[in-house]
Amino acid sequence: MAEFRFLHAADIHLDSPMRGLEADPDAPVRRLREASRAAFRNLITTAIEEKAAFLLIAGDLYDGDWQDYRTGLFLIEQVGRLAEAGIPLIMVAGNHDAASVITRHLRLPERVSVLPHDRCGRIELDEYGVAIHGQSFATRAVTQDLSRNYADPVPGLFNIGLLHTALNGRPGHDTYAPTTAAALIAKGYDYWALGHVHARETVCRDPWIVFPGNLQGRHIRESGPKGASLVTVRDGRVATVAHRPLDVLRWCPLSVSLAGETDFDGAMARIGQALLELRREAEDRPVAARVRLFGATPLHGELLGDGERVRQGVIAESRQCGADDAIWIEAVVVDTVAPADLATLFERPDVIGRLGAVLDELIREQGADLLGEYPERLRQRMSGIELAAEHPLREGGVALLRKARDLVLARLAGEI
Amino acid sequence: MRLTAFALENYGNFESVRLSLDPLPGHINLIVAPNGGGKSVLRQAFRDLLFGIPGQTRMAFRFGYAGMRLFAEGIDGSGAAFAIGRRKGLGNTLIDGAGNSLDPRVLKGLIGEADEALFERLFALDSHLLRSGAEAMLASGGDLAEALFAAGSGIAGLRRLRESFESRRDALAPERQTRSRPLYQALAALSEARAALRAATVRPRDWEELQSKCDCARDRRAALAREQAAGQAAIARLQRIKRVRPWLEQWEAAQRELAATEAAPRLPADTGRRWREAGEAVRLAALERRAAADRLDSLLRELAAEEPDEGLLAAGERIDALERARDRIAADHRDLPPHEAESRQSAARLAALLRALGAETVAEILAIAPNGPQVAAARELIKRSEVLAERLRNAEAEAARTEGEIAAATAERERLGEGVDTGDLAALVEEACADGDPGRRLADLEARLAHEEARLAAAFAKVPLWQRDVEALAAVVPPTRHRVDDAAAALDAASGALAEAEREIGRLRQDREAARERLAREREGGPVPDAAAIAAARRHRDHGWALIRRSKFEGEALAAEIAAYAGALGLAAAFERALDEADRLADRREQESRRLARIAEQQRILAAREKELAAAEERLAAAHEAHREAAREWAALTAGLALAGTAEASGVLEFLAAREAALEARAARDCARHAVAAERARQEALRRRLAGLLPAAACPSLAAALAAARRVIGRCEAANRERAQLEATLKTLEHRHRQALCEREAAQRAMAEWRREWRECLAALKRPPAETPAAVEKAIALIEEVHREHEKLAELERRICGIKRNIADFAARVADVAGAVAPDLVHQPAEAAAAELRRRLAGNREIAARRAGLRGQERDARAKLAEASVRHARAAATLEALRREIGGGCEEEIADRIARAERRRTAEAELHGIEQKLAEIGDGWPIDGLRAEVAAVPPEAVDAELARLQLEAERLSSEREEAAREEQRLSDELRGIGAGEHAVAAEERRQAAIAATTRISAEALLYHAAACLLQQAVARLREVGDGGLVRRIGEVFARITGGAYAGVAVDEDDQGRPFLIAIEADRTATKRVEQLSEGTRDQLFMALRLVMLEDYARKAPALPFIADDLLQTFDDYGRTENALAALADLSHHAQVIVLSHQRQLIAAARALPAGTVNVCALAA
Repeated sequence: MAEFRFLHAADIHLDSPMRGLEADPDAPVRRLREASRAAFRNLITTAIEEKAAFLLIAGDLYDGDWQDYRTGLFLIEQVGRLAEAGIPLIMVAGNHDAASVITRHLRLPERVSVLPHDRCGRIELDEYGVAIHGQSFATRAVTQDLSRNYADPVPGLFNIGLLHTALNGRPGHDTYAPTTAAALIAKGYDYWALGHVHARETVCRDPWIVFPGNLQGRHIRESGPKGASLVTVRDGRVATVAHRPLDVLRWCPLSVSLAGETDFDGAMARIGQALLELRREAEDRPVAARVRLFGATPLHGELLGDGERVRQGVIAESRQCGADDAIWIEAVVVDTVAPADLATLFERPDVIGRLGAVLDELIREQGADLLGEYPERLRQRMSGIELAAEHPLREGGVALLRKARDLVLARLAGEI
Repeated sequence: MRLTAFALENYGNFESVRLSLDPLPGHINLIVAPNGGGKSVLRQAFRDLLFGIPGQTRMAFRFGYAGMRLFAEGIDGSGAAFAIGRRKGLGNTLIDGAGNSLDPRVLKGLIGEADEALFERLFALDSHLLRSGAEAMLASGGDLAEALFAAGSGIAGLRRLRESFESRRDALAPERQTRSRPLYQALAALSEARAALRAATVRPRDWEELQSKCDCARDRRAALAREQAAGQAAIARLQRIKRVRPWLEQWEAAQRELAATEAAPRLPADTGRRWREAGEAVRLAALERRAAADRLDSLLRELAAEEPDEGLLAAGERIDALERARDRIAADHRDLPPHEAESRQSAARLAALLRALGAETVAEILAIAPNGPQVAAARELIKRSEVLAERLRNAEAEAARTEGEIAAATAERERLGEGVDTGDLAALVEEACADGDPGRRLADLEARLAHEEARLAAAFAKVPLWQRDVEALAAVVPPTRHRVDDAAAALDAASGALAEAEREIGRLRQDREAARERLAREREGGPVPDAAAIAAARRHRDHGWALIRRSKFEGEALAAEIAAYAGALGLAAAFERALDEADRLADRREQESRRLARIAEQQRILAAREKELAAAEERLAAAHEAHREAAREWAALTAGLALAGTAEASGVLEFLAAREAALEARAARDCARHAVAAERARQEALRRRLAGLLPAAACPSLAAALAAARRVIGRCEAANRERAQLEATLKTLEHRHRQALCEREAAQRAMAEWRREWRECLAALKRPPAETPAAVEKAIALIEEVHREHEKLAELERRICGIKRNIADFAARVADVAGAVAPDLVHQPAEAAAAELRRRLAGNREIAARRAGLRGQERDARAKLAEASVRHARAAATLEALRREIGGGCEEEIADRIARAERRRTAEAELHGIEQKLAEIGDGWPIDGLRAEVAAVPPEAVDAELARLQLEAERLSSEREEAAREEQRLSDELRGIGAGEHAVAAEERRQAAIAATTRISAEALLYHAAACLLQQAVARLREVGDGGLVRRIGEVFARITGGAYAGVAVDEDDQGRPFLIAIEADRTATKRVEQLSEGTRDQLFMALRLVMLEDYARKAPALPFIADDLLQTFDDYGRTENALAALADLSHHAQVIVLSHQRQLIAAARALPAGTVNVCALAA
């Protein structure tokens, strides 16, 4: 066949939850809950509509510690649609799949092939002249270079390597099945369909080595469009590799400058404008946004001192950006600074100036000891919760104290 | 700064006032004014002098903005004289004594960094602030630091601020668990979500088990359903046989009956009924015809009895008209007397009005019409007179006002002079600040450099296994990451493989031991009887049976053999024992065969384990060798790194990563250094270019040069703006002045015209020439009233004549009618005669109406008689036609034919009905088939077989229902799992709760940190209250209280926090703040404030201290004197100006040394 297309996806993480979004009685919970399922439906629909020759999944269908069998049932239902359309699904198990109990119990339908974990397997699709090579993860932590086991390309066929790997390391990802781009290039395949790294990346174009990224962002670090790669092969060579966004909820960090703003309502108006812009860029998808406020503003103390009011204000602005579920606010981060005149307080010859100096001395000399036992008690109450690195209970307290100093001085400046 | 004079012009309620102030240390200025006399204005004026007059000041209420000025003369900290002033306006409003614009730096030199807020909070103290400061001191229990902070900053809420932080923290996440607080709500939600997740998760094994059970239940139910269907078919057959058997018998009887009636005629089924109905119809029609004839006769008799008076009926309309007029005539009789009385009163009022106007006849007045042109003209002129007078007054006032404003604006414009171009300077400033403030930019770059230096130091410190400097570290040529990764991976893989092989060996050994144990347990069962033993037992048994047979049935003598076989036991018993033994051995052999199979299996497993173990030991040896090889390669690789200490794989990888981080930090540090140097060079070049446009002394640094340039630009731009604004104002004013002059001239012309028209109007109205507009307006009102009264009188007279005419006409019409139809009523009164005529007419109308009704009934009766005759003829014809259809003849013949036809029809119908029934209950079988089926089963066998089948069916039905219920239950369970809350939902809720917990805890921590910081800062501020400061406060307090208190001291509470105590005169007794009287607390706070002012004055230029009615709370006369003395002491550090409405302060001031108090009496 002179031309055919196939879809390459990875890191589906079916039924993996959205992280960081607080419960919102106004939010359509079902939409949030089923985001990873909806994205997977989109993947199957796209394969059918694009008349793909086959679908490749480069590992991590599930979350490893996820045990709910209904996830597997859903997978079978969707893969059944693919089978009805006569499209084969070929995949390898990733580190999460190897640890999953669902994987061990699920009987997959016909036309679904999971390549073996004890050796490199090969599937040939004569209709398209394609050979697909791949090896699954046997255990969660595979530290050997699996690509070394991969067979030589089959002459006269279009050879694809299906591999779950972090290559030589990617930030935020365990270095499983390590290998290098050079090693893959040396193998002589026409296309390397990789998985494991959640950010989309084209590692090489000759031959093509592609991470399609995960199918649906699940937290703020997985921001931007998510989906799969649609590969067109013409005359035995890759003609195009196009990214298809298939996500149904998009995570977006949003920084809003409040420099010089003196009025709270004015600040909210700026945020509202930025949210509108964000909504426009999200291709009509609902957005989960982390709003970061920065810049020097006289509102600094007010923003720091009443976080709940700020959060509710931002949520109210988000409500005005179209439909009710257009934008959900994941978090509001106040990174503003006081305007220059707050610093002049330190130079005053009265006790205000002395107080400002004392606050800095205290932070310098005592640091987190100032906080007493309260943080430890909170930590105990919150045992079992994994906190982000920037959370005050993890960062050590100095950043927190600086923020608190700003809050005290800003409140005093309001009195003066 | 100290003031010697302060002047206000056009400010507040002061048009011009000048106060002479005493600047000398040790002297105070007492300005006395009554309440409302301008003390607040004066205090505001001090503020405006120093910091500018606000754009929307309340002080323009009397004189407006124009001419608003404040002037002050005084001496600065070095004793040099100065004169400054403030005008109302935009931009720089600071002026000198002559009103010329003054550089703001002059003022900055006098007041330092003090701003408006500082002045309000520290240098202006009134009784309200004094009292709130004392209350804050009481609220904090006299806490030294908080009291000093309140006195030294004017902010009394340090404790309140800390408490607000604590309160916010506790509102979110108090230390003690409280369910209503957000953090604990979120934690509870988290706990619930975790439980829900556990409950909602469907594990694969559970699902598969349930699915399998469900499939089994479904299969069982299907099998039962099939069996039940077969049973139901057999039951249906027997029931059909039972059901159709009697109907088949009836069918045969009906066939016989039909054959018997074959000769009867065929008549329609309703022939008998139709024959009876036709006869009855003839009889009824005859009765109806006779009743109609009787009714007609009766009506003709009633008509003959009713005859009315036709003459009276002919006059009916005229009598009705008289009846309608009767009520109106009665009303006329009632209205006539009051109308005549009102007519007389109106004539009297008209005469009185004529006298008031000085007229003799009505005609004279009626000649002047109220709506006529003379009166309208007079009214118009009266209205215009007021408008014209107001217009003239306004025009004159506007002309005078604009003239004054033009003069003032012209003088101001001349004062401003010509403008200056600062374009080059502005362009240079813009270039310097194009990337932001240069100072801040340089500071940012330096901070970045410091940050990068620190980052480098931190990154270098994190490099493990390294003891030389950074440059040496950079000089190291490390192996490529790929090689390290490969070697590390190889070592790791070898270690993993070794560990795996060792684990496998251990596991296999355990398996082997387990297999051995299981084999040993199986072997503990004892030996197994072999086939030979069983064969022997059987032979022994058979030998016994042979002995019995031969001895008992064949009669052989076998005593010896029997004795040998049975011994003392006897042959029968011995045979039974042999039989039991053979059976026992056979049974045991069968049981043991299963155990033997298990033993064989265990032996097979054991052999396999031994084999696996041998293979695993070989792999372990190979793994050891591979690990040693990998370790050698790793050691060779890391030797070139010159690391201090043994290099494990993780350590080398960590070293390489840390080295890369350190070198990256080093590159960033170098980059930051370069940026700082470049920025410094750029700023120096800019400074030199600015120095070329400014005085050289103003440009010691780029920041100073930029500030100087901005001041120059600001001054010039402000002056230009002010000048442009004045030009525009002047043009507007001149335009308005010209308009005002034109308006005044037009108003004067209009007034002259009006006077001429007024004179003509008076002549037309025949009024005196000098009569005023008000008198004329009154006369016009009287004329209007004469016209109204005259019209009213004429109307009354017209109505009286009309009433009299109506009464006469009515009497004539009654007499005329009575004469024609009732002559007996001619001589009666008109109203009574009319009533009688009406009554008689009504009676005759009733008779005529009844007669008309009877005529109608007569017509109806005749029509009904004709219809009855027709119906009778038709019924007779129908009866004869039916007779012919049946066959004619007499009544008896007809009845016989009808009866025979009915019997034949009944037989046919019955046969048909039976056949239909058989079709209905025979399940569609033909009658012949049914007869054959029934014939095949004897009647007596049906019920027994049916009962058996029904019992079987009930059993199957019960079992099927049970199976269906089980299937349904399992399906529901399966569906319930599918439809219940999904684990995904529970997990989402768990994540939401984690997010809420994280956010709330971070927010609570911020408030906690703020509260802790403030608490610790307050503790450290207590150090401000060192011995010297406290001693000085005590001295001032002692002075104010006149020695009632010897001073203050510092004590500590249980937590070591110092607080102020007052020492009584005996120098031994002390009081805490809360034990002091309200007034004494005020005095203590005043002492604190005075000492903090002294402290401030030592560090920065002090402003004048304004004490506004501060001493009014001091009810003790002696303490008032003492407070004045304390203020005189303060004046050694800052000038003191006391504002008060209490004239008795003047007397108190006399107690101080002569000249200490400079008294000014303020008068607006």
